[in-house]
Amino acid sequence: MKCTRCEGKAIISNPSLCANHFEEYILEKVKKTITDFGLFSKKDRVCVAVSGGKDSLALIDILTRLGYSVEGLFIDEGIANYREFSSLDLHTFMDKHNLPLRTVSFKEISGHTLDEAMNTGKFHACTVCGTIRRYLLNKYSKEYDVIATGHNLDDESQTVLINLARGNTDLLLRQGPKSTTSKYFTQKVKPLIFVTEKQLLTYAILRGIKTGFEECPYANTSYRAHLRDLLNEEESKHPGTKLNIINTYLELKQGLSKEDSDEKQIGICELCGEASQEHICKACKLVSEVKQLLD
Amino acid sequence: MKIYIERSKEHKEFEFKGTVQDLLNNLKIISETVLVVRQGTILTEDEQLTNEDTLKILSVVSGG
Repeated sequence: MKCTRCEGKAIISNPSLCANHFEEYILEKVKKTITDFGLFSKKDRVCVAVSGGKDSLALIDILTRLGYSVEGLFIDEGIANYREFSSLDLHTFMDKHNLPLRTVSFKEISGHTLDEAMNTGKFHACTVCGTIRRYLLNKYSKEYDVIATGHNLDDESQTVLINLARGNTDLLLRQGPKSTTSKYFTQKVKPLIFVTEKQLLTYAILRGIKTGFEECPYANTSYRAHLRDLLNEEESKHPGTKLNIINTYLELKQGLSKEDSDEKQIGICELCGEASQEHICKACKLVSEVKQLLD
Repeated sequence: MKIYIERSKEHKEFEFKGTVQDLLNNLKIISETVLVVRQGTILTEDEQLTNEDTLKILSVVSGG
């Protein structure tokens, strides 16, 4: 297979590109996403939510190459034989590029790791992880203009289907390249929303970004893992399936009125002072349940 | 041919001649979920393979 830009040997298909033109293509694609959707500018301080996996490290690498000012925020859930490996890759990467990194952990706010909470048998891992992660990201990103996450086309197309299948209208309407603005939340942006997971691994390898293969031990229990396999099968048979899901979703969302896509009334949690739709936020409720069971 | 499948941490050795896509079909691996690497070079699905090749099949999926 030949590169469509230079006739050299392609390393990836759809589109067929050689190594040099593939890197160029990814940089162009991310730059276009940032510009078209007005995600942030070069004056903004960008906080990148990093896990140490290929997606977030590739995101930092791409944004740095495009000339943006980025810093990392790492959340340690406390998952043994998983997070310590990506944490090591992350610290090596950030040190090498001389980029600032802040680390916060689940244990800091609840006194317990995610593993300890899961050992009680009372929780669903992705619910606890998602709630506490969002809480910590918001709490520790207030000094920044935006939080950039490494969510890619695979993640987003899976989430559209999950929210459709489960009838999560509110969550569905909040999807897209950037969240709505609110005085309580730092705006979240997804510069990689049009890049597939396969393209990101290709980019990471070409750039020499070292990430081992570590899958979250709780991932296979999720509905997401099921949809991921289903979508990958469809994408192999019908290239462009994932992109079509996102583009159709964004087109439909554009047709909705502002009221439809606005977030619900936001207030302040009586316990922690962070944003909440109820008197007590979901994170405080979860932490309280974990403490009741384990302390 | 010698292959290493990263996701299942398996080493395999067998007789094979065909394209990358043929190999993935034989192994029942969806092409969208992996990168096939030979001597540090990423291969496209139409690349011809020989019995002498040593390949790594890297998993695209990571994280949670």
